[in-house]
Amino acid sequence: MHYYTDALNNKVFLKIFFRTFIFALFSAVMACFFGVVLAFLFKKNDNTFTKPFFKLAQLPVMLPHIFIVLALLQLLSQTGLVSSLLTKIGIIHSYNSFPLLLNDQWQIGIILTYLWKEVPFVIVSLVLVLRQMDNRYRIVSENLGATKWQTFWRVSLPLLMPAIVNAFIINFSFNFGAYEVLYLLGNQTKELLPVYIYDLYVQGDYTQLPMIMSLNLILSVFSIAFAGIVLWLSKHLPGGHTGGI
Amino acid sequence: MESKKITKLVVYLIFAVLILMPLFVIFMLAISKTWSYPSLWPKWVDWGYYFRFLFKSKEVQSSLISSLELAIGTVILTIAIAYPTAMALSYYDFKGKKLLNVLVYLPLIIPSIALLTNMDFIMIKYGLNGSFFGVVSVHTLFCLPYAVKLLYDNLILWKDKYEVASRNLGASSLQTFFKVTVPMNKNGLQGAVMMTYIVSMTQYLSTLLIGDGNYLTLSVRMFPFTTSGKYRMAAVYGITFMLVTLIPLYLIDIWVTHKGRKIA
Repeated sequence: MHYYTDALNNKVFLKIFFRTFIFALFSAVMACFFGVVLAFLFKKNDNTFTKPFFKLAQLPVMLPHIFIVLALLQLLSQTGLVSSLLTKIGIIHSYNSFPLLLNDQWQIGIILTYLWKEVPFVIVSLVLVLRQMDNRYRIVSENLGATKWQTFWRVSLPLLMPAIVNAFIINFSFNFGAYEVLYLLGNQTKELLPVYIYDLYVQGDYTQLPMIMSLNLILSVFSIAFAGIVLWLSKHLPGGHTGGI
Repeated sequence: MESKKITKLVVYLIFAVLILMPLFVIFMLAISKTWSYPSLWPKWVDWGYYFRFLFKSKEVQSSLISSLELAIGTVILTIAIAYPTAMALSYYDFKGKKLLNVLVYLPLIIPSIALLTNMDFIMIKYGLNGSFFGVVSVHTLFCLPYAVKLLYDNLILWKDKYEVASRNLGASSLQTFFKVTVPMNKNGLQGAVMMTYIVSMTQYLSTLLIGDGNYLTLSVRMFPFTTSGKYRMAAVYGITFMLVTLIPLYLIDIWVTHKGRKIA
C-alpha cells in the first residue's frame, strides 16, 4: 500500500500528471469543437461538398500518427518547408527566426498532430449520427418560432450530445495515455506522463515494478472516474450540454 | 445564400489542404532524392525509385507480411469475440448488461500506456511475450470496443425479430446466423472488419512491447527512421502502408455496395 502514498506524494509525478491532464483536456476540447463546427457545416445531404468532405475526413482516421508526425517534421521544423517558404518570400531572414513549433515547450507539435487525427474522427462519428437524426425536430422547432441559434443550441446539440461526449472521452483518454507521438515530438524538459511511465518501465529495475503498477492503477482509476464525471455532467447539466445557458 | 456557399467552399478548401498536405509531402518524400533546407522543391524526382525499392528491399517486404499477418489474425479474433458480445448486448436483457456495456469500452478509457506496461508484465508472466497470439490478443483488446460498438449499432436496428422468425420456420441456428443475421448486419460487419484492420495496422507500442521486436510491422519500422532523420525511408514505409490500407478498404467498400444492390 505504501507505494500508492509514495506515488501521491511524489512531486515530480504530480506535476507531470497535472501537466498531462491540462494538455489532454485542451486538445480533446479543441478537437471536439472544430469537429462539431465542421460536421454541422457539412451535414446537409444536398450540399455538393458533403460527400467529398466526408471521404476526406475518413482519411486521417485510417492513417497512423507517425504519418502526420513525419509530414510535420518535414513541414514545420525550423529547417522545414514552411520555414523555407517564409525565407524565400522574405518574411523571416533565416531559419533561426522561425519559431520552434516541434519539440517545443508548449507541445504545439503534439497538439497539431492530435488535431489532425481527432477532428476527422469527431466528424466521422457525428456525421453518422446526423444522418440518422430526425430532421422533423429541427423543422418543428423552427416552426414554433425558435431562431436558428436556439434550434441549434436547444434541439440539435442535445440530440448529438451522446456522440460528442463519446468522442470526447475517447480523445481525452487517448491524449492522456498515448506514448508514440509524445516520444517523437515531445519536449524533454516538459515531459508528459506516458513518456515518464515508459521510461520508468523500460529503464527501471524490477524493484521499481510495484511503483509503476501503482502509478498505472492510479491513472486508470482517474481516467475511468473522469469519463464517469463527463458522462454524468453531460446528462445532468441543464439542456444536456456543458456550458449551457 | 450565396455568401454562405462561398464560406462553405473556403472552409472546405482549407480543410482539404490541411488533410491532404501531409500526404502529399510524404508522397514527394518517397520519390525524391534531395529535399532539404532551403529548397522548396526536391532537386531530383524519380517516379520509379519507390517501386524498384519496394521489390528489392527484403525489409519492406518482411514488415509488410508481418503487418498483414497480425492484422488478419486480429480481425478473426476480434470478430469471433465481438459478434457474440454485440448480439448478446442488443438482443437480450440479462443481469450485468450495463456492466458489460461499460467493460467493453474500458480499453479505450484506460490510458494505453498503463494498459500496455501491465499487459507486457502479464504476457511475460505467462510466456506469451513475442508470440503471435500474444500480439494479436493485445491488438484485439484495442479493436474490440470499436468492433462491438459498430456491430451493436447495426444489430439493434432490427433486434432478433428476423432470427426468431427464421428459427420458427425451421432453420437451424447456423443457417439462421449465416443466412439471416450476417446478411442483414452487413454494414456493421463491414465497419467492424475495416476498423479492426486499421487499428491493428496502426499499432506501434503494443506491437513493439509485447512482440519483443519479433514483429516489425510497417508502422513500427517507420519509427527509427523518423527519429534518426531518415525521412525518406520512413516515407517509403508510409506509402507502402497507404497502399495496403486504403486500396483494400476502398475495394471492399465498392464490392459491398455493389453486392448490396444485387440483393436489393
